[in-house]
Amino acid sequence: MRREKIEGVGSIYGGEYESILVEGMGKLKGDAKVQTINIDGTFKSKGRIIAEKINIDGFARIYRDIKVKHLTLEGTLKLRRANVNAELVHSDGFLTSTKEISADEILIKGTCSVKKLTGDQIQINHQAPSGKNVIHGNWLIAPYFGRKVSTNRCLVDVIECTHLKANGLNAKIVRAGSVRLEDCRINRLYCDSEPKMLKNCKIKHIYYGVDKTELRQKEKNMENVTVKKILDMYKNNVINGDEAELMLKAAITSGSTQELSSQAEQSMGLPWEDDDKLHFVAFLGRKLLKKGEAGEHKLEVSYDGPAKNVECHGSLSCGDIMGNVSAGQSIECRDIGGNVSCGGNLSCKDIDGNVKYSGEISRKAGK
Amino acid sequence: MRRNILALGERSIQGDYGMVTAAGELAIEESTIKRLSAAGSVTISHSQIKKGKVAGSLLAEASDFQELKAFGSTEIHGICKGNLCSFAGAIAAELLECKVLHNSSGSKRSNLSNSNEWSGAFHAVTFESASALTLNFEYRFQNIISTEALHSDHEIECENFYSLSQLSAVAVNAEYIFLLNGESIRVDQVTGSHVKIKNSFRPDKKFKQIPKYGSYKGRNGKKSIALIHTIEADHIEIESTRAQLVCGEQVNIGDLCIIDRVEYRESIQISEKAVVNEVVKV
Amino acid sequence: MFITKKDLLNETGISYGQLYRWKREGLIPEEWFIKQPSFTGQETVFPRKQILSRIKAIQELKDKYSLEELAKILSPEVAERYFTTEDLKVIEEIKDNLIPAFVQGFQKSNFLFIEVLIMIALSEFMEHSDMSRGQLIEIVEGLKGYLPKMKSTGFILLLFDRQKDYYATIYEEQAQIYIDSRLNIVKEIHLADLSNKLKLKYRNSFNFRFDDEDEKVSKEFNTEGFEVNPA
Repeated sequence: MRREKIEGVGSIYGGEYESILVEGMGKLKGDAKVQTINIDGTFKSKGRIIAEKINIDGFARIYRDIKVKHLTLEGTLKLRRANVNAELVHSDGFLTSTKEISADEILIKGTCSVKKLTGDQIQINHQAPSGKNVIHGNWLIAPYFGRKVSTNRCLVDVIECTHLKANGLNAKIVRAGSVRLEDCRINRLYCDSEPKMLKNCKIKHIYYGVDKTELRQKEKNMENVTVKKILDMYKNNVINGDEAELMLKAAITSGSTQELSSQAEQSMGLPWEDDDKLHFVAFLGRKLLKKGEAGEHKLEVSYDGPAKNVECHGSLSCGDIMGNVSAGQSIECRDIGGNVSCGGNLSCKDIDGNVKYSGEISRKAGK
Repeated sequence: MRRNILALGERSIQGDYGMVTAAGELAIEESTIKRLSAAGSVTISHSQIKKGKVAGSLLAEASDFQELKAFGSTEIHGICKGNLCSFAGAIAAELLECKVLHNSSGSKRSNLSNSNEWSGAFHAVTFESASALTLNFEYRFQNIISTEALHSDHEIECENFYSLSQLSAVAVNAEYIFLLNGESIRVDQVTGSHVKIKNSFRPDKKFKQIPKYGSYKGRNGKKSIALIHTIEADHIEIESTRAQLVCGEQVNIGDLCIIDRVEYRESIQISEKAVVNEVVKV
Repeated sequence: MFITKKDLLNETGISYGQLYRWKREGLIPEEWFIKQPSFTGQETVFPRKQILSRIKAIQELKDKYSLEELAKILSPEVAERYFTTEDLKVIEEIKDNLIPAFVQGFQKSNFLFIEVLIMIALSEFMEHSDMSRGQLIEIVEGLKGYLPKMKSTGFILLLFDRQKDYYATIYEEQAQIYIDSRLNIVKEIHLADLSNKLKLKYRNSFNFRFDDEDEKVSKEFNTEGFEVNPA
């Protein structure tokens, strides 16, 4: 078994290891199966990790799913588009995640901003620092981590667990068997037993004693029935298109102010600027699919007309391109003004720049 | 004999005056003034003023105003009374009692975040808000007419409530509630005797009888849907509203409503352009 | 034990409008509106015993008093409400031990605002003079007929004495009055100033309060129930 140790700058390509120790700047490029990972410096992972133990004292950015038995964090961990599946998660450091963290036991003491926490026992014990919010430049931090961050409270969108003990939590939805809360702000709280609230708790809606899955199902059903009725009315020409759109929009937002704003946030949180460019994107449900996330769905977009620079994560078929082209799969087009990089076959007329391709290249006749 | 005064610079007056025009620092004490126009910093104490216009900073103490328009920052000590008081800018009042209280501002469409700062206690028959405002001061209003964004973290309570623009509040509890559906309306609970949520506003007899400063013509709202959790009232008439629960004696659900559950006691009407998932007679 | 809103309306026969009107007027405390989960999501319930007896009390009050009177009893506005003897105890400026004397003098136990002002004025005056309780009651008896006619507080109360015998006169603020120079004016009180002070100080003290037992509620408005101590 290999042991990897990076003290300066280096990359690891993946495979099976006994241990990985990063003291300088390390990068994992492929999938890895490791006994222990220790990170004291900075670390960036683009591969799936399966590990027994991960300790992070430094700074880690993870872009693929992790499966780990014990995860301890004392430094900073940024999880983007990556799930964590663990037995035990201990965090004293700075934790952000745009996806789900799931573990039998989760204990969070430091700063955290997570989309979804699920597990059996979840304990959040956040002590707000005395004095002011020490984060400066929050406007930079939010786009970088993909989430709003606050040192005063733990921000979690959804928590689902059996037992929850929380102090200093801000959550949108909590579903739990039993809860014990102190100094918490929660929009919707669903729990089986009577919630224990110690002090300074603001909870907008409490549902307890009711079967939460049943209730959620009921809500969902209601929504579906409503949507169907609206569509029927539209079909029968009772209402026009504008009206139908308006009603559908209102129907899927369940009226709560907070949920609406989070939805607005989501639409604001697109990974590009309002750049006046034409973007083709795909959604899975209400979730925006990002590069590489389409998975087994094969997507094909065809565009007829001139374009400047083109970046495409699937196959591409279009007219003249004045700038550079990069596509994940095959390209079919007319003239290209700049460089081309292509994951599959390339078929076009003239190319003025360099070409990088991994399939076949064929040039169309005529000019 | 009434005197007219033109004052520039620092000046303090006391007595009975006709017209007072001043720029600079003006102190008025135990006076009766027919007409006052002042710019700069003005202090008024124990006086009666018939018609006053002040730009700049105003400090009033235990005075009566027939009509007062103040632009800039205003501070009120003790009790001041008035028939019509209109303020643009920040105001802090120990207690201001007037018939019509008007919140105006030079620039229209201001955001709530930079809305006028009001603090203290205000009593009025009618409160008209023509500028974005957060209701986080002590108030006792019989009528509220809001034509700009209005926000409250608490329940809004009054007799007659008219909102003709944006509204966000935890709850509204009033005898008569009219909400014009235009810009976003978000309220958890709307309760009272009469609740109307409409796409257009026409001043009715009831509205015309309310003492007020501004003139209101009918207006149409923009297309949007009001988001409300619960509506409970005796008479309910709604259009373009998304609500989870509507309870009332006489209920009229108009076009483009989406209601999860309606409970009624006497009568119900549902437009064919509305979605209602459950109707119960209780 | 709780009662749901629906059952409450059915049992008492009141409407939504009435329920929320009374909540607005502070007759039903906000804490009694308890939110509870139910099969429809959420439901409001009330503490059964308390809400039922409260609504009964309100309905009885409505029968006993005219709408206008009720509005005055319930008004949180100091200047527009009726004051009960209980309310007078809240006002610090009126000495508690003088209240029975005022009750005797006015021969009633609900007071108008202007009457309360007179009480305060006399109460203050008594502290700085040697006026006796008997004289106080006599002055009250001498004035009481005029007070209900006064619709504003723009009056001045003048107290003068003649050989240790106190008299009072009330006149409008703008009016010029000439008093026999043999009389010695001992105090001049502007009621409007007093009124302003009072309004500011007590603007939140007079939300209508119920005692939780019904008998007490009725007692509060009952003249006979109050003991009168002669001076």
